[in-house]
Amino acid sequence: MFQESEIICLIVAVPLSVATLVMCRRTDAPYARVVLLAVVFALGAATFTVLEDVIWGPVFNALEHVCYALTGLSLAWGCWLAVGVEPQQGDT
Amino acid sequence: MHADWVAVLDVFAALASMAAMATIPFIPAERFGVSARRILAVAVTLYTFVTTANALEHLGVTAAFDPVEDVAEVMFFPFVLFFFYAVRLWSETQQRLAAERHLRELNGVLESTEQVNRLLADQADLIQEDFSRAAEIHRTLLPRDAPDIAGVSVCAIYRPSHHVGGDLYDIVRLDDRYVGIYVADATGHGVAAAMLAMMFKNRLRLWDADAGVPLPPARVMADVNVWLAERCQGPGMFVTAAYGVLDTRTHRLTVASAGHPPVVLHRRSGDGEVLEVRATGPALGLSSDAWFGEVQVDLKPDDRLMMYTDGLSGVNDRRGATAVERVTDALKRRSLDGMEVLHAVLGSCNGTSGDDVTLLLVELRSAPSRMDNVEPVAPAEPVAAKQADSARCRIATGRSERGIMVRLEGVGQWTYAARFHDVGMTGIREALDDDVRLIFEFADCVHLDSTFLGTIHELAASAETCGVEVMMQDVSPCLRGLFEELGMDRVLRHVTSTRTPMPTEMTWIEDAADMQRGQQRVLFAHEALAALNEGNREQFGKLVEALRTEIRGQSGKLMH
Repeated sequence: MFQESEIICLIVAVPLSVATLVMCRRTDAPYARVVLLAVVFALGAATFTVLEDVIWGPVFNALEHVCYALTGLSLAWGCWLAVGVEPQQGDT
Repeated sequence: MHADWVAVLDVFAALASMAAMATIPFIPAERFGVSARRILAVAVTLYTFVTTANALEHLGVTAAFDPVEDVAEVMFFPFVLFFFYAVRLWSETQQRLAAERHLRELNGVLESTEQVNRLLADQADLIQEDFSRAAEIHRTLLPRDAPDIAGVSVCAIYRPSHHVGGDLYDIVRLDDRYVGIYVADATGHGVAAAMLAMMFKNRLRLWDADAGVPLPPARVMADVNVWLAERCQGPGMFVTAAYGVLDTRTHRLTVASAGHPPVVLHRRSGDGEVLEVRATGPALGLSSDAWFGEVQVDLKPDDRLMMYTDGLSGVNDRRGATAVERVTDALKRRSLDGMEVLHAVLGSCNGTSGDDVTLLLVELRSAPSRMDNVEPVAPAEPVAAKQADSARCRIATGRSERGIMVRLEGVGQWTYAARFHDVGMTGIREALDDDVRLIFEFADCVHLDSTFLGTIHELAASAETCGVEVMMQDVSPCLRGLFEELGMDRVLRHVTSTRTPMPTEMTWIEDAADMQRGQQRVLFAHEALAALNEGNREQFGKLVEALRTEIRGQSGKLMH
């Protein structure tokens, strides 16, 4: 069955992710794009968490954890790009 | 098996998140500011907590963090949103600061340009003043009054091409019997030529004091030649001259010509013979060992002899006749007196050669002698004042049955744009009410700044929206180029070559400068231009941002 906290997380995550994507639609800094990717994966993880309780539990559970891993990876990559020695194109 | 993979993925996620967290302190502050970096740190920390709690749970260590993990996961999203918002604020601040720096730099450039401009204008005034003085000094070299010589009439006209010229003439009574007459032309124009002419005059030795007779013209020329050749060795520094000594008893004229245009003699008695005395030697100052010859001519009553400088040779008349032909034609016109002959020769010039012109006519008859040297040059209007006048912007409006006209003169500067916009909008309203066209007239418009250009675009757009017919007439190629450069198609399609006459009565807008509303107009005009195309956006975007911020700041202060 659905867990209340998971539903709340999805309800919060969807509008905030959409808002983030809209705000950054014209951003062309590489780090920003990768961090946005992390948001998408995090949203995916939240979605799959809910879906695994409804249908195809093992599949969505696996996808959920893949998304967690990809989110972590995207964050690390994004931060690494932000560290870059020279200011990147489209930073400001 | 599935649980193992999940545990591996969670551990990987936790390690990656920790790596991200460890990287954040190394992100340089200039990337997106300190605040955004802190917010990112919070977001990544929250996510690290989520992945670490997941990993601990699936490794079977502890599930104690499970309730808090959900809260952390929920909080991750708003913090990422805050992060991007902070990045955007920081980016806008940087852009504004850059625009302000750019504005300051532009102001600095403008200020220094104005300074240089003022300096140049002052120097131009000084040079103008020097020219006027030089012209006055040069005029002292010319004879003021015609000499009174029994039975001989001398008339002369002198027209310099600039304030001062290199032409010179004189009629010198050497003694009771002899009269010296010369016309000289120093190469070039302006002050240098005038100084060369002065050197020539200064060196002229016409009288042999020992023998008590005039020096032969050839010897006079040879003496000046040597003197000039030794002193003026620069390229193109020479003088052409024709010098004649007239014996008033025998009416014999002895002439030497140093590289000068022919001296033309017209015998009015008999068959009206025309004689040309051509150069008897090279121009003075070219070679110190030059040789000069002489020609003797016996003048008869009513004969006319003319000397002139090459300013006359440089132009042909409408028929294409040469200087000698024109001089001959004029000399042959018996009905003309001496001065009229000279004016006829001058009048036959089709245009100007850009050189000084001197004409000297000797007639063997009793008639008054006259000199027509150029009138003293009126003091020139100071350049600085002239600049200020041409830079002034004048706006006028008027109406006729053909439509409503808005006229712009001078340089369209941003300080005048607000008033121009008002006048234009009033014109649009009236044109709409009366169903007539609106005509913008740019005949005397020298330049338009970007604010004015944007304002014109706004007016054209407003008129189109209201369905008013607009015409832009007398648009110079320069203004048209500006319209094209900024992609002002809406203005360009109203530019017309048809010219509507100005209404008989135009009302000039007094005190059209409006500094107070100027800044706001600059913003609106540049917003309009920036919206036209990408190039304009790049060019004016920063200025628009800076002005928006400044105007917002000012309204904020007013509110307080």
